[in-house]
Amino acid sequence: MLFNSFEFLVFFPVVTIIYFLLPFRLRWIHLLIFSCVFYCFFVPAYLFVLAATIIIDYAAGIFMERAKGGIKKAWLLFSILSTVAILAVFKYYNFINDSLISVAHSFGLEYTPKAMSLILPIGLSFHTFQSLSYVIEVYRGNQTAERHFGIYALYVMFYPQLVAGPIERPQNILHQFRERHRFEYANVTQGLKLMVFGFFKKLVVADRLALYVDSVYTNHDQHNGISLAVATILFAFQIYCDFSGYSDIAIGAARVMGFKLMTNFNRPYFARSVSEFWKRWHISLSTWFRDYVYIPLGGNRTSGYRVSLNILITFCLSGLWHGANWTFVIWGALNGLYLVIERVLGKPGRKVYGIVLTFLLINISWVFFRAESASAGVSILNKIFTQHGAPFLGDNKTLLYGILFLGLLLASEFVQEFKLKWFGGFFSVHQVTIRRLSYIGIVLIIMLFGVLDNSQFIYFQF
Amino acid sequence: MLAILFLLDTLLGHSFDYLLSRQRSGMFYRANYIIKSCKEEVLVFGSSRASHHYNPDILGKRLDASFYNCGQDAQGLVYSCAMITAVVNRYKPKLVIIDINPTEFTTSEVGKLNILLPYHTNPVFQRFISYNGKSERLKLMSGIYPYNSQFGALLLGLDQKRELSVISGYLPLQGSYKGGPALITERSADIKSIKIELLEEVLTMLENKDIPSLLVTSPVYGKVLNNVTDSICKSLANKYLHTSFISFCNNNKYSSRSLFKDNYHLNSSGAIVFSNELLEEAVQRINYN
Repeated sequence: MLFNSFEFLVFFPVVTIIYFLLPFRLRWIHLLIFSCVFYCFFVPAYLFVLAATIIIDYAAGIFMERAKGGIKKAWLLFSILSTVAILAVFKYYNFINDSLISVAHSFGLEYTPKAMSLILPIGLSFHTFQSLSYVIEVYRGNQTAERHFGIYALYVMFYPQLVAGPIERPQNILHQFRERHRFEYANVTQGLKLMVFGFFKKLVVADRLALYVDSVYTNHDQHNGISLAVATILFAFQIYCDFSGYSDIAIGAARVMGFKLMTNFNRPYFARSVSEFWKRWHISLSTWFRDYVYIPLGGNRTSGYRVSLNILITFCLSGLWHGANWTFVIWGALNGLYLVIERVLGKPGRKVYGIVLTFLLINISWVFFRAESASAGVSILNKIFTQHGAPFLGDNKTLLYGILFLGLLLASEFVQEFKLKWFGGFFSVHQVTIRRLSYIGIVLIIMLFGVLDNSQFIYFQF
Repeated sequence: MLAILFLLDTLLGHSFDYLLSRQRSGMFYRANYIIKSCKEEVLVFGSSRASHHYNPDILGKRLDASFYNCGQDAQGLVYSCAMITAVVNRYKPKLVIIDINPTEFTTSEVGKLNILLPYHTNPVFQRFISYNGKSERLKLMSGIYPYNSQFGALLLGLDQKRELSVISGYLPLQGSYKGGPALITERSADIKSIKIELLEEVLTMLENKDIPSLLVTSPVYGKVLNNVTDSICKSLANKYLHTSFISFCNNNKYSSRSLFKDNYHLNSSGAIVFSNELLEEAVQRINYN
């Protein structure tokens, strides 16, 4: 089920109200059942894939806790390999084959393996990583193995974060399923506030900008460099509003029921360096790679050359996590390269200069993230720097509404980022009436200017 | 807060209804005209391609009949079927031309019927609006929802001067295309059978009322491979006695980009060439009185 669907508008209040009406001991069953219902709106058969991951990692957690030394490590390896194998079959099988075919052809060899026509289970990369973080934490002794199968299943399947995160750690969320959440007005208002902001980001900004970005990137060979540059900048905001909008709705929906999920975005385009950007962008994934890949590789504790290599490996893997395409690997490698250069040259000194430079560098990498192939990415970048002319304007209202409401969003983030108290702002004023009216205003803006065509979230494909 | 929201939604909805009734230019003005008052003998329906390709000066004069171009930007066959039904319920035109997009039957229109939504209370449109999804009728309980993303269009539509460049619904495009030809490939797996069913219903209705119809796929700057849409149109033309089909897809006469504004739209010069050629072809095939 999509958060921006009419079905969710009914699903969310019904599930929340029943949750609070039920006695505590039945709540996990209720959440688990409705998380399955939520997932079944995509491809119901893939519940079995999810179940396989859950069963393997649940059992591995218990056996690991009992075992010691080599056996404990063997259980960890078994769990990681089998969980990753599921991901590899669905996500990377065709990619690996295609890459092998290209290599074979370049050596004049004939290699024609059978292609698989499997649809990637929605959110597979997210719940795979959440499941892996559990077994690793149990192995490290930071988390006791969960004995209650239902609670563990809910840890992987909790519907707000099931398909696109935030990728939670067991220490943060598992114990919350055992807590008695009471109906609290503060939680409800905070949660709903976040959800409204999330819907605004997704429906009013991201989906509007997508209309322009898609029309330019789909026919990139027919557009000049200026149009491609505008589309690339707008894509940077589209993907931010799309994904952070999803995270806001997820965190908000969980908060209404009393659950506290981790923050996933922190105004990333105000970062003054690439390293700061990665502390503000998709925080749950960045910290996952930091804790489970970068640090085990040696992290910062090794020689300068080795640290650079660790960064590059981590970011290439992060790129590959996003999608089975070389474009994502290049995107990851570019970001890794930026960080390596930043380690050597140091971070930009001036605040504004740093923000602008970081934004431009990140935009260059977004070209590969959005392009259909690596060669298309190179061609787009080449055009941006060489071919100029009048920009494509498309449908008048697309750019007008998109830029108008993006401006409103950025102004609000600017006020928060630089803590401009003198500016006030509708959402922080003490007059309850004005504050409430401003929320009504946002809801009306969503209804009037949002793109209400149930379009998917970009990160669902990962 | 919910009560205030409901009140504002109702108030704004009524305000937009009022603005809709006061339109003097633009898409809603033309939609109002087609639904409520047009009386022309020859009508063309379709997307932006229809509105930019069919020149009324040529088609109307040479057919010796009044002509109106009912084409509408960003709409497709479902919108056309809805409008044809609304028109034919009022009067009997002499000829109905339906411009079919080159990938009409392999492209979904779900979520793209926004121009019909303000007219949702009209019983003719209700079944076409349901094409947008099962929940559409519930969403339409809101006063604002039918006008989603149309606020600017409604305001601009109050200015009559904006209609001056429109000739009986035809919107000529100026300038020439500078890019390369498009390569469009249709896949049989993508066929939207619901759109074929809707068109068949409309063709049956026209046949029952003795109104001849002409399906046309107007020119594209580029090649259409595995042309599923053309094949479907051909079979429909064979099935219905009063229906003919003319395809201009993959037509070598339209291989010059100087006739196009972009890959999918002819400019005003291209529209003149096309309208003349269509006429030559049409008079041979259509028997209309």
